[in-house]
Amino acid sequence: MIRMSNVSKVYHTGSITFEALRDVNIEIKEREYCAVVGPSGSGKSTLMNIIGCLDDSSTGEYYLRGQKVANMTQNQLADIRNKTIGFVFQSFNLLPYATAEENVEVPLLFAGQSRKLRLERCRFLLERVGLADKMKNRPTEMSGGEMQRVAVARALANDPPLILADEPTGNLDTRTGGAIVDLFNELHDEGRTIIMITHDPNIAAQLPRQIYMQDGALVDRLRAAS
Amino acid sequence: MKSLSILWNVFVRDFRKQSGRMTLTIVGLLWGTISIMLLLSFGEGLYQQMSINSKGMGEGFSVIWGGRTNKEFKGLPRGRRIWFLANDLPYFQAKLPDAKLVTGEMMRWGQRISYKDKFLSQMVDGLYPEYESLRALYPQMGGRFINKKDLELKRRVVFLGNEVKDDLMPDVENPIGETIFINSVPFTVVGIMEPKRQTNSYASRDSRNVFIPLTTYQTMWNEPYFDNLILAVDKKDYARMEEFTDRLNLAAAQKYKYDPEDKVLGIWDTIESQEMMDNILLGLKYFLGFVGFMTLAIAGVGVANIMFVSVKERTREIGVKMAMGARRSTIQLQFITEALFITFMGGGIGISLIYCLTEAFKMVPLDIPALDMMGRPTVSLIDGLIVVCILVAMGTLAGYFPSRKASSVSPVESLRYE
Repeated sequence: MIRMSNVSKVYHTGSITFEALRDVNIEIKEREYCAVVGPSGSGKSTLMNIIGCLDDSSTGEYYLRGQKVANMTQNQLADIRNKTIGFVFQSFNLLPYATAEENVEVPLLFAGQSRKLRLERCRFLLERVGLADKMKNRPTEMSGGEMQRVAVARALANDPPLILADEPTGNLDTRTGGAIVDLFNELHDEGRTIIMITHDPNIAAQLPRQIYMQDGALVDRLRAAS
Repeated sequence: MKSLSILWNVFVRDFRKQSGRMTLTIVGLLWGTISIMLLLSFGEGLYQQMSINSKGMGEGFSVIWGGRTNKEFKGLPRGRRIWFLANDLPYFQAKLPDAKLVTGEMMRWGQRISYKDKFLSQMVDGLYPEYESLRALYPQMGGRFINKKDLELKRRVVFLGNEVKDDLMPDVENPIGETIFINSVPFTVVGIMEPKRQTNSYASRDSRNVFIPLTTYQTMWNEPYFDNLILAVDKKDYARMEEFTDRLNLAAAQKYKYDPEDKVLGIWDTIESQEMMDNILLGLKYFLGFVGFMTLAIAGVGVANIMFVSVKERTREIGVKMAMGARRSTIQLQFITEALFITFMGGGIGISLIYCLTEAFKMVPLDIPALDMMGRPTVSLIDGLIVVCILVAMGTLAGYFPSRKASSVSPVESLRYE
């Protein structure tokens, strides 16, 4: 599914250069379920953004499903984000003015689906995440857990094989977070590849594979400091 | 096609969500469009009215009158009076075969015109039948202008200006065939002039004139001299009017032996003054249009401002959309569509409103003298198109620059934006 060799990411802010990722080599197979763990600023999000084609790497090669991402056009990248990848963010990133249904509809709109199909799919997905009665509610009228469920439903809109979650439980209490993790477990059982950033060692421990990061590099295991 | 429907769906959805702000912007544009359209339509109405008015005298001719020589010429003294005879017409016509018409008229001020117990003191104009179209002297229903037969037979027939008729025989419903007296000589009324608006004249307004056949005039006053020669040219020769008057001057100089450089003749080129008038009016119209344009431009700045704020505010939203698979072009086109929609809503409503208003105003019968001069506001197709073009340009610019900025940022940066 994902293969990276010697991927680095360098940010330049004025005269200061900051290496967010250094020489990352990683391979994630289809249907894998990985936790990315590491302290703040260790490069987890940067790695995730590059995997999700939201950002490009400074050096190195990244292949997604056998295709070299660096060679793709902007439109191809947009289509990949639309159909191949589903994003779930820590801060939900729902459109504040839109209802739950309309938020889930967004990826379907950009996929050019018909109105009938869009509405069917939204209903189906929101029922699936247990929000059938909140379809017409706006994010401001929902709890954090509910908002994250909407975000998960949105990530599933175009039935993508890869789900990227950047601390999906970070803004939620343990119980609500647990329910979201259960949802991810289900998605994995359906055969999706899932990569999840998490700060919570308990959640990370439940997942089949852990990827540890420190100072922008992959490490075997986190040193005692953290 | 598919991407168009995507764009449309996204646009409709987002637009509904922020209709409040959009409505305000549309009102701003509406205001601007109404201002420019009002000024333009006012200018257009004035322009049309003034054109009609200044053509009330007829168009495409020069009036030429005699004078005295200022220089000695071939032994002849200066101060000689050069005046044209009615018999000179064939000579000038032969010298200017390409002119539409060379003719002349005789005028006499303060003649006693009477009908029953009423009398007036008016100018009497002796002329040829060709004056009907030349000077726009059209008869009202039931009447006619002076014709060739009248001229040949030196008939005592008279064509009255409409105001003369109103003063002389106010209660007479059908004045045709009535007898009036000019200096106690009986004349039969054959026609009354159709009222017209006339801002130019070289003697008296046509509505206050009394017109009789030139031959009858000559018999009455035993008058050999024309007061004016009239030289008319075809429309295609309007630009060459000066050349025609020069040739006429030369022909007159040869016949009456004066230096053609000596400015003996008085010449009034109505085409030239018409052009001048046209230019002044056009200038006035452009000025009004410019004032309106400035108002509209302010509204345009408003749209640009709104789009800029809108893009700024929605930076995070743009990031989310891009993460969800929106193409850059879709994002960009969405903002341009929004801007265009705003300008078209405001502009369209404004233009239609002014159009309906001016059309409605035309239907109201108002007998205000000011309207005779100012005309009524009129929306011309060209003005409408110009305003539409301005709106399109404004909308595109107002949407293009902010959206280009927004969609060129990487999705990660947009997502981080707070």
